[in-house]
Amino acid sequence: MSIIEIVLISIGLSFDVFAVMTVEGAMLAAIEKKKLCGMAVIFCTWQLVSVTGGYLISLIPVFQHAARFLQAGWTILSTIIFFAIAAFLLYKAWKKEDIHERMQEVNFKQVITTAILVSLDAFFAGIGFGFMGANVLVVDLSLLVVTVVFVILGIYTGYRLGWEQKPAALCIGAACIIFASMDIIVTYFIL
Amino acid sequence: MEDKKDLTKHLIAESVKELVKTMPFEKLTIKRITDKAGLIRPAFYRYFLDKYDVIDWILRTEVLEDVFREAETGDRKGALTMLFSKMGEEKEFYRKVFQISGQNSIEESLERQLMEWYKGVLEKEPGLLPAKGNPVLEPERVAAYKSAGLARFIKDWILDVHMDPTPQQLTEAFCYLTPFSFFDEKFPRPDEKEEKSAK
Repeated sequence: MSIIEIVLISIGLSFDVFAVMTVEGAMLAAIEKKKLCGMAVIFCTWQLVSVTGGYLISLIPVFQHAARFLQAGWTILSTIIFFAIAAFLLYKAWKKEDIHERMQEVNFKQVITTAILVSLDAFFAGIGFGFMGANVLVVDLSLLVVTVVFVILGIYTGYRLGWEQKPAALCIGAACIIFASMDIIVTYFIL
Repeated sequence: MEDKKDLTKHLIAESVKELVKTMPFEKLTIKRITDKAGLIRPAFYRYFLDKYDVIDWILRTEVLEDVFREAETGDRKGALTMLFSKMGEEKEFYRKVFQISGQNSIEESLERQLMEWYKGVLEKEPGLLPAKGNPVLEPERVAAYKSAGLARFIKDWILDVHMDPTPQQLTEAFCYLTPFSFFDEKFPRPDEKEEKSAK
């Protein structure tokens, strides 16, 4: 799996984080750097735990054994997983949410819950990465950097512009993942 | 400093009133409100918690403060007429916001502010209530009942597009409805009351 594909999928996953952070930012009267760092650490931790956890699932001996004979099959499965994640992001973008903009302090319990929920697609992406034989360190590093950037961007975007960018962000995220998946299909099946 | 704060609050309030004319209140976002007011988005939270807080403030500063002040002079009927008159001047705005339902509704806000006022009056003038003994007639309960009644009366008038009474007619109607009880057989009808006083 190429680095571009890994980075694109990491960006796609992080747009989900960005979307959630715009809502968080939209409720803030002021941005405190310490709390912003705290949120970035929480999201990075859960994204890494989830993607690595998913990756490790793919290392289970039964999958490893089967992978030797069914490489094409696992690649197809990976692309199906990535397309499903993209579809999920599109569904979230389409779903009309009623968000009540009200000033509130950062609630770290809520942030942790949100980080766990948002990292579910990272878990499935981790399985996909594992089946594709991607380098887990490259995956983790890519996701770490992109998540930090998108947490900060998301908070500032929500703070300045409100949460209205959420659907657009989810669509862009889905587009990144779809593009990476199409690239995988072209690379592994056509070329 | 206080003047600048008030001015900004007025700007935000006017912005909400203008926007509500063209879109449902539910669709209003803080960004739209601040863009209309010519402010940056983060400035909103320096003055208000959310858009419902703006409605609360409009109701309090543009209507109720003057009404309560008038009531304190002793002219409570005049205060009631003033209430209907002030809300009537912005009827279209209040018609849009009265359509919001749920815990952030203007009806709830109006009821809450009226209840505080009623409670204050009953605590200052305990003679307004019958002698102690009936636990249902505690000032807080009476204030809750009275404020709910008046808030509901106002809501029905604002939302009724077929009716356009004057503030005086509204005052007369509310004053008639308030003491009237179907269940009090001894309660005379208003015309009977007039006959008795004529005799």
